[in-house]
Amino acid sequence: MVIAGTMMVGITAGVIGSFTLLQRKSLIGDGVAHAILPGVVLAFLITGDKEPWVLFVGSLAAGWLSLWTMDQIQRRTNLSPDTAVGVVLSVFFGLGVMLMGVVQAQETGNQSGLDKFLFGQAASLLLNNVIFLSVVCILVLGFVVLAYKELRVRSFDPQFAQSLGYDRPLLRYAESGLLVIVLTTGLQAVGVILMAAILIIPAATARYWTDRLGPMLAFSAFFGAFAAFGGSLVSYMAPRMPTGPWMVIIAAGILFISMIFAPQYGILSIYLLNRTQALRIDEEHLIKAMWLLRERKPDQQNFSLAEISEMRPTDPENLLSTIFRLQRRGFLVAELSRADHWRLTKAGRNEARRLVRVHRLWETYLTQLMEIADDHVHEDADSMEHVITPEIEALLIQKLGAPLKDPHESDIPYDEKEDET
Amino acid sequence: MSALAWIVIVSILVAVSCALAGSFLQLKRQAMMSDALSHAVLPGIAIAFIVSGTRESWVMLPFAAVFALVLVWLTERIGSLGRLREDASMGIVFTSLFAFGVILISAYAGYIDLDLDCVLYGELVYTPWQKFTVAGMDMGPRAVWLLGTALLANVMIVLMLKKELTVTSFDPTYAQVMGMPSRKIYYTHMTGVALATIAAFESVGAILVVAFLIVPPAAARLVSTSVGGMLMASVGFGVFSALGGLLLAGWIDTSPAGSMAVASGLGFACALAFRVPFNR
Repeated sequence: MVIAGTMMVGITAGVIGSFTLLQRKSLIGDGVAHAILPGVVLAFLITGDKEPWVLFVGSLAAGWLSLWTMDQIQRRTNLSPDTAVGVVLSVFFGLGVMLMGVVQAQETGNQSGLDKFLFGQAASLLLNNVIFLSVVCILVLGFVVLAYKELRVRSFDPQFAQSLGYDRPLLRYAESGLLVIVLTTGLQAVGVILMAAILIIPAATARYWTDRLGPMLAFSAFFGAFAAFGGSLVSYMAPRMPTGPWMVIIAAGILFISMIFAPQYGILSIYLLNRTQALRIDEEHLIKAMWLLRERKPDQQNFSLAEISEMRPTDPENLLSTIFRLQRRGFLVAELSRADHWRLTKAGRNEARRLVRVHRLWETYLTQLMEIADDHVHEDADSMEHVITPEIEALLIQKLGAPLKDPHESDIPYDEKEDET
Repeated sequence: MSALAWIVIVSILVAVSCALAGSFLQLKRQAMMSDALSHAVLPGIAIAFIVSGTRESWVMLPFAAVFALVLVWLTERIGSLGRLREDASMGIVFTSLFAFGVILISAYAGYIDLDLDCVLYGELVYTPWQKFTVAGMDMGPRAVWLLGTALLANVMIVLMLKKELTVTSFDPTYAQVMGMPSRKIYYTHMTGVALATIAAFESVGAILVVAFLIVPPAAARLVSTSVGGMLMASVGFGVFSALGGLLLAGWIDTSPAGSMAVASGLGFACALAFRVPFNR
């Protein structure tokens, strides 16, 4: 029962949280969750009743009022959005605590409610609650399916959404209303403070796995559900352990792992990508150096380590490993008759010719069309040569009319069919 | 001195040091950092209790300060990875730290006498009786000394770094061009904020210290046109919230901390009504 209930909360919060994260409203959840307190207490004070639905109505009213107040503060002043959240959060919560004091003064022995509100009490979830949470979950999913297009545009480009008329009050109210409902229902499971975490962390984790909204919602819901499952399991096995905080810790753990190992955006894959790039750039520089040596000494094919490193100064170890990598790729061969001499293979010559060509084409482009002094263009070309694609190269040749000389009067090598073996 | 007088003094000390520390957070558009800080130091407090077994604020302070810096640093690191925005990364870090703190407290609940309530709501009413004694001599309430230190630190930071803080808040790029050590200034300021937060903890609690850090500076910003004026107005609003809250709490017999937050909200509403017009 507990697991099912918290998982519902996890899924719902994961989905709604994705939208708040993308709309840069992450902390609003925190604010609204706190601001619900006076609503709960006031509902109790007025009716003298602890019926869940009474408190629920009170929470909804307070939640909406807090959202409205934040909105008004932002509209009427130049205070930052997070100030608006902070003001509403602390003042509403203060009011709640104040009213709480009044309740405690009225009757003693009935004050356990606040703790439950702050930290949640997943263990007290009953069948009724689970049914209710499922209804909320279906409601949220239904809303997302129905208004998917509008929500997507609003999340990524609010101004565009406005110009399309996707900023309709009805949609805004539905959106904020659902946020309040989700927060209110989630409170029982995880409590005020950690509700914000359940809203933010799974969505943030999902950002590490995908760039697309659809998969992001799925990932986020999955991570939310997984964290909920884990948290409930921990507190089931060790009853003294609170569910909510464990949910957060597990969610944070998944986020941490994702930050390191996620494909494409993880720290590790970014590091590996950078390393591969760096190695490739080293290789390209070396091939180019070989070509320049050939240009300088046209009667020579094989070049020694000393000659190469004179052309491309780098530490010897790095130079040797780059040479071995190029040998493996078939661009260089070692000369058997003379130790420590290498020459370019046919493939190597083609690659070198391409690199030198794009380098010199780019220099020509910079001096002729961008009117940059010819002594300023080498460095830029040195980095551009690694990233110019065949399409850009073709475009350069077309724009420049296939020039034969670069600004420094060096030949621009085009494919030579009569290249000797 | 009567207990009431001490309570008034403690509240004013809280209000003034938070108003000063919070003003520059407000100018830097980092108001929610105070909310994050007040939650993130919980594991520090829990560890201090578990390790030392005492509730001495002097023991708590360094542990809490460590976690405050952990929050600031981690938020910055995660933000700089580029995939998540600063507010999201702050939300992740502080809620996780808070959850960690709650777990620590639950795990050792049987062994330590740490009441979550007093961390979250403070116990302003009891501060006059928690005396600080030196060699048997009664030196007055502990909270006054702690808060006095926090206030002194924040006054010094404002006096010495007002120009630097102003420039780094309004125009970080210019500050960098001028060769100002932005990071050092930032961390010094955050230390001041952390000190004010932790010192105020004991008296008004984790959640409502946020009211003192955010609301008076926000109100002050609405009615002032210069940084100096804003600092003064912020202190004014802070003291108003503290005293107004005490009166309100006495009048309807309820939590002083909550009432102070409500009073600060009233101050903010007044500021909203009489705000200086701004150009968008």
